[in-house]
Amino acid sequence: MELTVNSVSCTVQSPPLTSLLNVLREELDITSPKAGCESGGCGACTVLVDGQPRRSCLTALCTVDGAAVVTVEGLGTPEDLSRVQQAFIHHYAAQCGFCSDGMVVAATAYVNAGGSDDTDAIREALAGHFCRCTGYVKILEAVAAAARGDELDIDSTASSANNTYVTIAGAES
Amino acid sequence: MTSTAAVSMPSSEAEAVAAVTEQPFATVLAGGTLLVPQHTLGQVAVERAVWLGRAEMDGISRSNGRMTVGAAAPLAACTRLDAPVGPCAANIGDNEVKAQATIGGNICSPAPYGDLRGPLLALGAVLRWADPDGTHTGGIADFAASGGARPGMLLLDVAFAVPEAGSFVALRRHHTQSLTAMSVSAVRGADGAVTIAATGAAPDACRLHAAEAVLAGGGSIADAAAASVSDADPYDDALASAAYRSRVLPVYVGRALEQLGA
Ligand SMILES: Cc1cc2nc3c(=O)[nH]c(=O)nc-3n(C[C@H](O)[C@H](O)[C@H](O)COP(=O)(O)OP(=O)(O)OC[C@H]3O[C@@H](n4cnc5c(N)ncnc54)[C@H](O)[C@@H]3O)c2cc1C
Ligand code: FES
Ligand code: FES
Repeated sequence: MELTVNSVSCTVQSPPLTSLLNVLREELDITSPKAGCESGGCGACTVLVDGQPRRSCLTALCTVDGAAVVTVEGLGTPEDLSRVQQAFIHHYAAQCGFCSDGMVVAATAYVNAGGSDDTDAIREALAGHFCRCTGYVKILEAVAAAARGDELDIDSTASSANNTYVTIAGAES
Repeated sequence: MTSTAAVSMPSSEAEAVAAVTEQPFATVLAGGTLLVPQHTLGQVAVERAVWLGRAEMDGISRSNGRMTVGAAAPLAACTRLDAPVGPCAANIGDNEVKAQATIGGNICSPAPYGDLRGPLLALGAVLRWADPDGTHTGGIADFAASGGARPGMLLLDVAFAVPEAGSFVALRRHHTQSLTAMSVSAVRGADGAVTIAATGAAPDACRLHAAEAVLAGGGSIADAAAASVSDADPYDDALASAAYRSRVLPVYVGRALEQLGA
């Protein structure tokens, strides 16, 4: 079967009922989609299939033969991050990062579809995505910023007045 | 763990029937939101599968006061139908799941899944399915009695009369991924009669005949709600205890009837 993954054409050998998640991770070595629950309940495996957010753990390979798949690796490069990736950095929307790939992909679909910065609308769009670190407030702020098209200078994020650091005594040494 | 089962992709309903019913019997793959993870985790064995995504079985049409919904219609499209089906479909999973999951897959999924069996039972919906013995029609209960989902059986579509009014209420936590512990669907038909069905009141969707009889006899919503427990067969599971189910069923029947304006 054929897939275009992050703009690269691939011929894949996995059996037709293999989940797209396993095809990406095991056969193609693309590990940003996370195997969280592997049963549709957490959103960590979400990728774009022909522009639409899809749970790769629920998607059989044969049903996406010929499709264009985009993972976080295909959204931006370290030198040229996408708007949503920049917003996640600027707003500290990742803690352990396990949910972040699925969140960023789903948020990208939301922003690309013209989604607004309305919190309820963002909640609805990301409702299937669990953050085990419960960093939802920051995630909502990041997606709203990306939806508004805020100008973000992530080089100055660390010294931004919006971000307050707590110094743990002794941690400097 | 993934088997090397072959998957055929028919391009019409007739081809799908032939592909599912020939030996060895095939397992139907619709949206895959239940089957794919079960297969990945080794919970189901699939010898051969038939995917419905290209079989043009996803149409939704209305004619002469009857709605016909193809088995492969996605839940996202079903959310646009009137109550009780639309709000029930909207209550299942999140947007990504609704875009992929189908009404046929929902009807064929065992409890605690299969929420749509409740509304469809209240509507007196007629299912059409094919197996090696031919094509059959019948209600939700007939379909279950025939063996329900099994290799070699293909659910084709579901049809029901558009009701005068319908309502749907559900008991679940405020998160898209939690399953519905109980739901009540009520329908007023063209003749004014009210039919009521519940999920979560018994191990599978059930009609609440006693409550219907109270209303037909001119009784109040409160009396109908109180009578509903006589049709229940409450059970314990991870979502709710039998005692809790018995307590809340009349509350939800009352709310569904208020919403219906019974
Ligand atoms: C995150 C999440 C949340 C969920 N929440 C709910 C919920 O709230 N309520 C609920 O009811 N369910 C829920 N589900 C379960 C399930 O996804 C739905 O019931 C869904 O509608 C199944 O449809 P499908 O098309 O994906 O079925 P599939 O996974 O393709 O199939 C399910 C079963 O039905 C059979 N089948 C499918 N179509 C046919 C057909 N036309 N003819 C014969 N057999 C067929 C398959 O062989 C398989 O055994 C949830 C699932 C997930 C992942
Ligand atoms: S791994 Fe796919 S939704 Fe959790
Ligand atoms: S950042 Fe840890 S799961 Fe969300």
